[in-house]
Amino acid sequence: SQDDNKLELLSHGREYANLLQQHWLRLRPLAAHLGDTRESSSTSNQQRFSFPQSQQFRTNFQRLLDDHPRKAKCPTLLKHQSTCSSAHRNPLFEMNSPSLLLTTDFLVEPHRALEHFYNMQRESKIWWMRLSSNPSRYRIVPCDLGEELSPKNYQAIDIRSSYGEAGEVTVEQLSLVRIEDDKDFHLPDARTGESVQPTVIRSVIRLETATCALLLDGCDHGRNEQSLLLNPLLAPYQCGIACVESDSELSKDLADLCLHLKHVINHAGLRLCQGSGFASTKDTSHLAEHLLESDMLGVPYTLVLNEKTLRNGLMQLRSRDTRLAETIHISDVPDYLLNIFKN
Amino acid sequence: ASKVGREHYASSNLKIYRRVKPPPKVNKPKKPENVVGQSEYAENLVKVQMISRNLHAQLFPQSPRSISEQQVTSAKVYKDELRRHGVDIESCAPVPDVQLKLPTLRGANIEEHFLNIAKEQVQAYEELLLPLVQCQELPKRPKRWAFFAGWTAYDPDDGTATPVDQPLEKGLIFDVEVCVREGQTPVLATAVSTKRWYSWVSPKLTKHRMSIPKSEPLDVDTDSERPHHSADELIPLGTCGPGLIVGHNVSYDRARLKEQYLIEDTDTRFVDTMSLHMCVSGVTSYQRAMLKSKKEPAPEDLGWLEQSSLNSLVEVHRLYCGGEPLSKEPRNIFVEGTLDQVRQSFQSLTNYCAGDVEATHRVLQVLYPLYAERFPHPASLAGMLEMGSAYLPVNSNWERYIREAQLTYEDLSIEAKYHLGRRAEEACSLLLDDQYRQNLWLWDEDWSVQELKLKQPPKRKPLPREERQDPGNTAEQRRLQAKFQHLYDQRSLLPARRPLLPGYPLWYRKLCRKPPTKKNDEILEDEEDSWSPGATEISTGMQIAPKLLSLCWEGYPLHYEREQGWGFLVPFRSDAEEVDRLPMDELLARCPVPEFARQCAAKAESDLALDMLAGQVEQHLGKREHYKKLSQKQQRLETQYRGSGVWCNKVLEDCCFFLKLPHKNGPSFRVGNPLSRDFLNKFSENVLSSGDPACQAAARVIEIARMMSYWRNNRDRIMGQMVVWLDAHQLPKELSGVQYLSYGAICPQVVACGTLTRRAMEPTWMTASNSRPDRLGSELRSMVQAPPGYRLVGADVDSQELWIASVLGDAYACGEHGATPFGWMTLSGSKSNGSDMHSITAKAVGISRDHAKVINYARIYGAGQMFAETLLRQFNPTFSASEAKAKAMKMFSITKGKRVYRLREEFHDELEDRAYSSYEASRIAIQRNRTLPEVFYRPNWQGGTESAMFNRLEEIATGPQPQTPFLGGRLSRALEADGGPEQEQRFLPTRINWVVQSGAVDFLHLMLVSMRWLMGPHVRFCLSFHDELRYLVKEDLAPKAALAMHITNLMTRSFCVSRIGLKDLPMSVAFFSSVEVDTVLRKECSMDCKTPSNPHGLRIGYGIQPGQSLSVAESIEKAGGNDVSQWPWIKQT
Repeated sequence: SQDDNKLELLSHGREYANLLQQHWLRLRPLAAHLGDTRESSSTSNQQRFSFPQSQQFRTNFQRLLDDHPRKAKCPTLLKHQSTCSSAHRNPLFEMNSPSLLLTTDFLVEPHRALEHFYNMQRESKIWWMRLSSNPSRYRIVPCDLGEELSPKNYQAIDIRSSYGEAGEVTVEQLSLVRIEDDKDFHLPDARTGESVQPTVIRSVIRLETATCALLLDGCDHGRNEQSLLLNPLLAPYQCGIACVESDSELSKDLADLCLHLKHVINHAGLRLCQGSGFASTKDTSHLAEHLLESDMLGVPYTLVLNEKTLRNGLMQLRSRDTRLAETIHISDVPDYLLNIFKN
Repeated sequence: ASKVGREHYASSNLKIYRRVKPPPKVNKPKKPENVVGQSEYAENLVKVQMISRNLHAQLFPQSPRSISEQQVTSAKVYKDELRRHGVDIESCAPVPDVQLKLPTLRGANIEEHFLNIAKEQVQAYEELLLPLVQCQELPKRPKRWAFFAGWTAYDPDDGTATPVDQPLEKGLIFDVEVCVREGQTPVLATAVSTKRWYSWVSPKLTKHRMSIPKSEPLDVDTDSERPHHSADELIPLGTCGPGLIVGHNVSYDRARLKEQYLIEDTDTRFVDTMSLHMCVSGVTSYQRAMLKSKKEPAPEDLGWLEQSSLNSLVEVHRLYCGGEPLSKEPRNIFVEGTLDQVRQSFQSLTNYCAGDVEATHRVLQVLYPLYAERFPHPASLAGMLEMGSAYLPVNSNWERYIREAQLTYEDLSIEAKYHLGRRAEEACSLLLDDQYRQNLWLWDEDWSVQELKLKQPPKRKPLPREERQDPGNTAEQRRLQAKFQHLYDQRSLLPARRPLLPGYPLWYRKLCRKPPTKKNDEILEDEEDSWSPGATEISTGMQIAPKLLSLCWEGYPLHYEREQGWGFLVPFRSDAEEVDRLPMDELLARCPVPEFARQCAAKAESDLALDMLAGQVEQHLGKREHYKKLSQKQQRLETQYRGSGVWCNKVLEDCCFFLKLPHKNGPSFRVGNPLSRDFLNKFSENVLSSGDPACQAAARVIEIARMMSYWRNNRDRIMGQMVVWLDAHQLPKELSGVQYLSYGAICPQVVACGTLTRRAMEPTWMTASNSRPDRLGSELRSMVQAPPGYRLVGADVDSQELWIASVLGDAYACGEHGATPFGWMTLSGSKSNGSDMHSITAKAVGISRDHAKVINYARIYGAGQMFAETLLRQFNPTFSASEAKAKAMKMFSITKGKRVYRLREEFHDELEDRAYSSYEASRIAIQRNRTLPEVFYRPNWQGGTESAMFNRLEEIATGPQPQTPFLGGRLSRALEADGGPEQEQRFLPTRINWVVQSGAVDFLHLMLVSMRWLMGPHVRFCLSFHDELRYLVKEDLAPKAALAMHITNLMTRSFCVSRIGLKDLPMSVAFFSSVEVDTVLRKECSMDCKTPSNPHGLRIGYGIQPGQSLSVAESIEKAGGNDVSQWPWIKQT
């Protein structure tokens, strides 16, 4: 039924969405970031090309000129977030409205617009591919513009993430609109200084839809194991700590060591698994259970300690993806981990 | 002919009458003036439609159509033969007639016409060339070369140097030198005319400022790694033609001449001594290898070795001029040195360059008369001159194309790598509980793991303290840090060389990079080079890749053996007992013992025992015997196995066979990488596939590999194309106003005659693939784009070589077009009703039409039955050897026919004068103690569709001085060299191939001459390869150029048939099926050239609209009528 398809992000999901948003901000870092814009917008297909006439767009353009005068030349980039009230359906699920729209406007020289448009398509697709557990699921789908829109002035593509027979989800929309005969709308060409009417390429990402698409992507991997393959950079929990305490005499020390590592990891800025920060397990089967749970939460790495660690500082770094553990030394923490999460 | 035929059918039954319905006018209802009714229609005795009457009257004015009694009689024989080969001569539909008023022929007939127009076209160039050839002594070389930027002229008497804008004479021998390390532009050049010497020095060398400040040539982001050339870096020769430049491999020098890049042709032409050498003394690839080899030549090779050489100036000079060998020593400075070094040795290097000019002159003196004698028709020289002036216009899209292809390539390789990395990670978990032992692909990888161990602590000394940078903020944090400080201190006990990934299997560790140990290292390292975790070093080229993708061949898992390379495992036992490492249970679960192996398994026990016995008994007899036994057993199996794997005498763990993957070069080769280009096609045939259906990665990785292969193999050549960008003032007025797009050109370095058959050669454009959706970068050709206001006009000659071969057979055997089965199929067969030759062969042998087509061509190119067999097996891996052999044999007997021998007259008394098979013939000869040629004439082919053609080709090819049928060009001396009948046999396939291919080159040269005559200066030659011809034309003249192309086809074919004694031309080959009028250089004007690097196609992605494809009728309409004789630029007499 319809309700079955309705998805809502819970706390972890929202955290993930938040991280995705941060990541989006780091993409194309030279953009003038305008933050949240009040006005809510809707993105029906008809309005896909009419946004340059909207008040919001004009306000943003003015803010570019006023607040970011050094960036006010062609080509330039604007980023902003806005809330969208209209619901959005796709073949796989429906999100509760309202949703957050992450919008990037690329103002480019009109004679190079197509070239920019294709570059942006490629850049965006690669961005999604890098976040995904299966980069081949993304494809660029040109939108049928119909007869009345000339491809010289209007172009649009969707970046879709495909889940086999289940269907596809549009994760990003790119639209190109050529603005003509608008007096308010001029920028100097960065190279020649000549004043031009920029062509706008707009990228719109629905944060919640994209988040769900990426979470689905993490599950849809055809492996036997029920891991959630989240990108290590975006995983809400990047690292867990578990210890096996077979000797109760040492359990206090082991707990202390876990606590210490928790501080070190937190201090390094890595996102550690919830709760007390570490899990105590009694034996290997208990540990295996715990690891399975971590895999299902999408935690990429778990540090596994045992009483020997108390003697020599050696511990296991267990990976979600290989399900194997590498022996590392306590002095490798956190630098080695930071290296792993750097890219 | 038609009149007879028509009445005949009119009186016969209705059914047949219907078939010969008058030409359908409905096709072109609008233009009654160029399509007329029945009165124009004509057909010959075997019901092949001939050119319209008006055309025949203009082209063959002295040979009115008529039919003799005798012809009617022989036509009956032809028809019977045609019927016997499954040809239904009633089956073809007539095409509309065409009415044209051609310009008057320049001579009494079509042959004289071509002779005259070709003479006229080369006249101006011959006037410049002949003085150079005849010049016995060149002017004296100056003692000292002037170090001035630009051209300097030297007084022939006292050597005084005078700067000039360009050489004063128009006929020059010329050589350019390039400082390779500094780029492709010229640094110095020398030239000599019959009057004086010249030198040119680049401003780069003299460190002069360029006269014009360098403007940024492109609007796109320039890629700093690839230089952008402007015409001002090149050597000027002036725009006033005609001029003639002689050089060795002159296209290299031509690419460095400024005016060659202008859109307007300057009428400078180039004579290439290397091409002349190829015409006169060219060699086969086999001969080239012999020339290169340092071994003592075999006696039978001595003859031709004296008559030929490799192509370098040194070798060519040695061949024709002898004397002191040329020194190439100074050249090394140009190849390896810097500009400074060139500057330091300026005098000696310029002298070296001038030395080459002199050597070229000496070669020309000897070589040109040889060439002129052997290639008497002026069209040959005219064609060569034209071929040497190829021109490819490009614009900023060229840069975009390269950038997009390169980026797409990188994206795809990252994607493939990522998938493989993921598969590797996944496979790691097989280490848990030793699951890898059950994995069919990874069981024989090295799964050993390393441990991280601490060294023994020193007894007395305390461990050095390992400082933490930040002990923490709170007291609790500091307490814990202190509590565990001793653990940190143990870092000094870690091994100095830390093992990589302790706990991971060895094969995986090999794919990973060592992480940076210190933070300092990271700073030193490049951004791109930064470390990331996981199997980052993996690539599709690695041995592990096919295993990670779980690849199967014919359903069996792939396996790698060091000695045999890649192969696959076929079980022959149905139990896993005593099988140690190989996961036999899994193998059996996936692939039950196949039928052919079961025969071995059914008797397994006794056989095994017997085998064991044999082994045991023979142990002391040495291994050789034992292996022989084994191979006998396998021989038996081999006959039953129907797949394409190669038996290699290998049994693994006494439970399965190891069969090698088939290598394209033959069974003795080992396959090094099943993901390489040669195998990529096998994936689509489901021969090679992933054994893990859940693994979409495998299919995707293979798909990616296929997409990337074209670009990987071609990108260096493509990116190395020398594009010269034109400044606004160098563009025609109409163009300089167009903003934002840059225009430039490539002068492809075409060797006008680059092979034995005088075909042109060029490494990038002539082999350019057609655009294919799965080939990254294959939109290459469409990136040649006409500037605004211009069009690219051209066409492909429809089945050119088939027609040449078949018309030779027709003319020779019957004197009638289409009278041999091969001839008829070529002229009137159609793909749609299955009456063309490929369909008929395909049907007769039981293979696909596409495969039949390849093999048909191979045969006509001279390939034998063995080659056909190999091709058949390559196309159909499931064919057994005997099946392939049977099919090849059948095909040859249908097409080529049987070889028969006829007795010489002196034996007619003893033996019956009939056709003898080669077996009979050799027996008869042996009985009489004679050689075969003493008793019999040269054998003939009989009974096949192509027998007549092969008989004619062999007759030409075995003559003492073989000549091309159309222009009478001679075969290279290297193959002509007299070596007796054995030599003749040895090079026979090459010579046969030469007749057809060299005939096709004549055909092309004739077309070039005809186009020049019809269009004068209004077309610029762009490119031609083999059967394709393209011109750059102003937009308003494009329809006329298209019509001229059609007429060129008509006249060229008329000339060719006239030369071989036919005085008529079939309508089906009279005109191109279409002439493309387009803005880009694509095969067909409607292709959108979507490729992975051009995903939106040309129309949307580049804004390029489809071109037009014009039939002759459409061309007539668009060109403004059918009266070509009124075109003002055509010289009428």
